[in-house]
Amino acid sequence: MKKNRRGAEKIISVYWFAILFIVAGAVVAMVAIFYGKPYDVRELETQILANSVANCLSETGYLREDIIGNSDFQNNFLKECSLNFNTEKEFDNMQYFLRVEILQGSNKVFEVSEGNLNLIASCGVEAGIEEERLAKCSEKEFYSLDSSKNVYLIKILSIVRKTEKNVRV
Amino acid sequence: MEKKGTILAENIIFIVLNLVFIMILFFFIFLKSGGAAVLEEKYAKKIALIIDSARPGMEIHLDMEDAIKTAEKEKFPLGQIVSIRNNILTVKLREKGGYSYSFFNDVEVNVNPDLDKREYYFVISKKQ
Repeated sequence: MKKNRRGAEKIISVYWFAILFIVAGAVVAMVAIFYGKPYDVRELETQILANSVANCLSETGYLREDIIGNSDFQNNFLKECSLNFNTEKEFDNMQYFLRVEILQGSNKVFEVSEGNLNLIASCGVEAGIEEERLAKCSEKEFYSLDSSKNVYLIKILSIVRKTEKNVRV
Repeated sequence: MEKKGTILAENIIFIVLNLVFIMILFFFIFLKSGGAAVLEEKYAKKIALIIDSARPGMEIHLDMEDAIKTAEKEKFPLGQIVSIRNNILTVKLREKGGYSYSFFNDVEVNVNPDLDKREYYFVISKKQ
């Protein structure tokens, strides 16, 4: 009787170690998956980009006076707003897209697009399994006044791709 | 009497083995979470985002205690941990390593280590 109990104890300890190995394997796998995955900062980047553009166009609630009707500003938008869309060499295409629209009532008085237009296809796609691999989009809308107290609606769409650096592909 | 002694030794071995196992597990988690590669990526992205949201005239101080500690362990020069070329920032904590990330804010960034305070500080100015 005693002999049988000792045998049973040995079997239990073998099972115990088997369970321990399974648990350890799961922990190792989870840690490896968690730390092997890059930090995804693209959403923050799109928001910061939109904020930078907003700060460039409107200061303390007033629209910059040299924007509307100024083709120089439109043509040199990136330089005027201190933006540089160059990225690491590993990216073949441009990884940013930016679109700014300024509306007075229903009239569009200013529009500019910079960067990779193809990225716009990533926006509005329903959340799904492949969503992480798409570019991240951020839309911002706010009102601003000019010196004559005319109201303008400013719409900013900013997109950042950089998938290879932020998602495990 | 002899039998009782055997049982005790078996139990002790069993408990010790369990403890060793758990310790190895925690060591693995600690090693992974504080690894040079993880820190390089974390700091490169953090600094890039800080620069993106900065404005000319700002001076930003960043505590990099854990990164400096890792670089010391790897015997990497502490003054060369963070470097910027054009608008690409690189954080390097070991000889065969490094992580680069780009920032879109077109400003001049002056990178300065302050090793006494275990930090780096970044002076942002307008591009000439």
